[in-house]
Amino acid sequence: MSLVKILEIALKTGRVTRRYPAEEPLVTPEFRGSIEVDPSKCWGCGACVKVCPPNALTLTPSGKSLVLEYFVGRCIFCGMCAEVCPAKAITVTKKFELASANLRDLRSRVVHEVLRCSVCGTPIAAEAEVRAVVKASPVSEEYAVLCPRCRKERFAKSIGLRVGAPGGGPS
Amino acid sequence: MLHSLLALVAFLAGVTLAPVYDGLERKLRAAVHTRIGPPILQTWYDLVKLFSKELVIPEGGSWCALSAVLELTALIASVALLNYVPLAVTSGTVGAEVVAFIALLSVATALTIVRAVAQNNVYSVVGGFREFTLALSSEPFLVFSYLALVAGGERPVFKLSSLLILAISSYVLSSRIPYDIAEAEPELSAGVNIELAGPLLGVATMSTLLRRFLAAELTALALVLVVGFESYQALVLALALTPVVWVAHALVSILLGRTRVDMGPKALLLTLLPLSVVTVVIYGLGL
Amino acid sequence: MTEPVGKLIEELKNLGGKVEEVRGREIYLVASRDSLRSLAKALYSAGAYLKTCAGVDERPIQGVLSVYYIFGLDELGVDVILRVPVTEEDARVPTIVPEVPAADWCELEARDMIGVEITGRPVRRLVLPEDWPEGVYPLRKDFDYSTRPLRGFRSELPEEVGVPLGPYHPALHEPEYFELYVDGEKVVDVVYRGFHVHRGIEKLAESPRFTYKQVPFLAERICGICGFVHSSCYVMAVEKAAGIEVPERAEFIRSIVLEVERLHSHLLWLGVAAHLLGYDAGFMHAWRIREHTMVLAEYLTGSRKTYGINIIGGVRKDLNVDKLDKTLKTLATVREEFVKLAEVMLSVPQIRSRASGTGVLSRFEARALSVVGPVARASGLYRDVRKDYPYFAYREVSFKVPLYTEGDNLARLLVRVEEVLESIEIIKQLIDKLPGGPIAVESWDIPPYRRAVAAIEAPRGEDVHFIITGVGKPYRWRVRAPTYQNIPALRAMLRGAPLADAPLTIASIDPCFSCTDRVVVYDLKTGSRRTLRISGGVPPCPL
Repeated sequence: MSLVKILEIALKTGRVTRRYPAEEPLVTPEFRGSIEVDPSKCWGCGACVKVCPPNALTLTPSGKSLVLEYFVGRCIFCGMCAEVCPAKAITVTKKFELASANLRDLRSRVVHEVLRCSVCGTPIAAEAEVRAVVKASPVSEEYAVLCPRCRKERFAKSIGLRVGAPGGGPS
Repeated sequence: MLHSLLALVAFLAGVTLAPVYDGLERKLRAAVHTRIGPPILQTWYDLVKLFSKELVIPEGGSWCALSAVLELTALIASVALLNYVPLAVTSGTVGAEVVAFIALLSVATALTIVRAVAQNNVYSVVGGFREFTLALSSEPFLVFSYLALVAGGERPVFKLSSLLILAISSYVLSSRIPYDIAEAEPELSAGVNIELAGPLLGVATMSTLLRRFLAAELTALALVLVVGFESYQALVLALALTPVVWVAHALVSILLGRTRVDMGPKALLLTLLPLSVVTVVIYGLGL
Repeated sequence: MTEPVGKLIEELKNLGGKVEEVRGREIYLVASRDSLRSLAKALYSAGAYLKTCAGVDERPIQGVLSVYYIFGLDELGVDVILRVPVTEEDARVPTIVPEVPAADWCELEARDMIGVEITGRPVRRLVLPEDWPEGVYPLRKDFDYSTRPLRGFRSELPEEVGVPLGPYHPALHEPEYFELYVDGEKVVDVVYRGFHVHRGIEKLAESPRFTYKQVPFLAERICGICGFVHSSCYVMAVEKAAGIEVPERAEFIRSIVLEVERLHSHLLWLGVAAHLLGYDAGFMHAWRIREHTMVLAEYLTGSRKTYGINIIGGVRKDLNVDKLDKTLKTLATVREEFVKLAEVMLSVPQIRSRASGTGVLSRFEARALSVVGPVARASGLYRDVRKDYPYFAYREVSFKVPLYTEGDNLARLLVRVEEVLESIEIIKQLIDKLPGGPIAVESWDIPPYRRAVAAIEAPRGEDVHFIITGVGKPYRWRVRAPTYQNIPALRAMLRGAPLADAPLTIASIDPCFSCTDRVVVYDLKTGSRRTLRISGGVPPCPL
């Protein structure tokens, strides 16, 4: 009777269940768990926020700072944030034992100082982002600390100086 | 006096050991499923947990609760009597103990059905009807074969034939797959047991365990008697064999699937009826 | 265009259809509602299957509400999409159910969501709750995603119910409602009410929150078993609409992962079917074998389920030599163990006896209802999207499509068993032929207001996605999951059959709703109600 063969199969297989958490769970090297944002590398640019499908990453101004918050409760562990981060500040860990009795444990934040325009004072972007851009591209530091509007004005004025228009020269 | 004491000890052993045998069954099932399974005392832990909860009387009200408790009582008494029988009975006669045993068993089945039908829950009612159909197609044969074995005299072939009928019909008594259609979880979401919780569920669970114990011990005892043992030896051997038979029953339930409400009883009748007829013929032939 | 297709188009033109556009294997016609019925009839007689119909609010684009009827001519591998525009003031179309019975549900859904009245048939709310306010149509563009219309709460069940057990109940894994009308032990009629977990995914994708890039992750969560099918179908539709050419290697990887998903899905179903029949050993062993495929999926994609590797224009993860090696080893193990298990399971008498001759769906009924997947193939319909409308890398492999004619539960079981073995062979061939190259396009551009239909053979059958591109995100995204097409067939399967077979029959279409299905039984003779409970065991995939 072929149905008795199940006993033979069971005997050969042994036990496949594990005494978790006493034994280690089985996780492959490719497994995607929660992410970690390195505050020293993060620019505060918001690329990760834009790409995050469930809105687990948010970038909100808070007083004088810009706060990047990661809420594990919404995370779908897709790892897109790590892929798009220009600063390579996000690592995808293998952590999945994330349950907690305290909702606060599920939120982590990176707080950025916001750079304000040296002329008009409007907030431009996170300091770290500006710093990284200046390092990576030939932008003069003097322009980097201006907001787009003041930058345009100054640029127009300096052109004006060059061609001799009235009111030209650095402001 | 000694008989009664022995029977009492046997009875207590039975009632305490039934959940442990169930634990063994669960371990065996887990092994066949390649799982680790619960610890062997788990069924005791489950019973303790159930009895420690608040008493909840389902909508069927007191009738349901009363039936459940009476059913358990009847079963407990059956176990007691079963252990007493080999000590009290002399070959060839049908004593009061035997009759009482049969009566109690039937009462227990009837009470299951009353409990199920008394409830306001349609799943339970359907389960009750299924239980009724199943009982009709197996219990008469159980009674017949039991009486045959007790009172049948020295006819070896007749005894073997009756043993076969007893083995099959007592398996059906144990509400195991393929014949657990009254409590089919995927079909009736616990059927007859659906409205039970807490201590009442504990009572119903204990009833099931005792049924299984009875089924196992009955078969073990029958086997022992057929082989020729009597009195104390029969009782002790039967008790020792009970876990073996229990495990055999468990194995059958692990290897098969659940039958259908029409197929099951039909298959039983088609097997047991001819067998019974043959058995009677064998008796007539003096074998 | 081939000759038979050309002839059909001529016939349709004569009946009032105008060719709007021809893109690859998709022919777009537009017609007035007066020609609709004769066009539908002509298509049906030509052997077309209705894939689905979709209501679209095209008022911002061309000032009309349109109903799209998507027909597929399997044998020619061509889709004919018929658009019927109506004005907002006179928004009605005639029903095509007499000609095409399969249109029953999608007509009602279009009525609920876009507000196009369907004339000539009894109508009821299908995907929206009964107490949804009149005149509020969620998929119209003037209905903002964040709107929450005020509704009066009304208890869903009539008063005769003795014990309300659903649609919402702690014991049910997902809300579900079947009503069986019985005469003794025989089922006389079936009424199904579903859509209790209508999540509004189509509307969500149109909301400001989402962009093209993020929708694959949303699509993957339509179903917890065939999620990759949905994300693949979505990206395929967008790629078709925008004319994005996906690198070959990516197509192969997608196909491999799709087949791995089929393996896990069929093994899951087999286990559940066994459990339903009381054979828990079958359940445990099937899921033990399935575990190999789950670990494989995690190793290949990074996640056991919701793989997250589809992006528009390709895939995010490559398969290196180690992964391919591991895949072949896993497949060998799975095959060996699966064959043994199938043999054991089919020799358990209760499984054989309860599955044979039960839940029969005749070929005629199957064709009329345009059923898909194993349900179709078990009733003698040779339909498989991988063969009829080849996509990704399926043109490069050869495989058998199992076909049975009995149409009973056992046939549906055997189709799935064979498909597991075929899938293993397909993956081996794909690995063998895997080309090199990039796994995604460098960049893509999606022009707005392009249309495309994409279909993929999910484990449960044909999954159809219809896309109208918008600016930065889809303008309209219609998803028709396979079970949507198959549930109406249950009525045919359950009618005239013994009540005791209902649980297994419902599970045999591999329904994409979770475990405990609730069945209410009305005894026509005595007028009493009985209730049965069924266990199916698969996570939600309703739309």
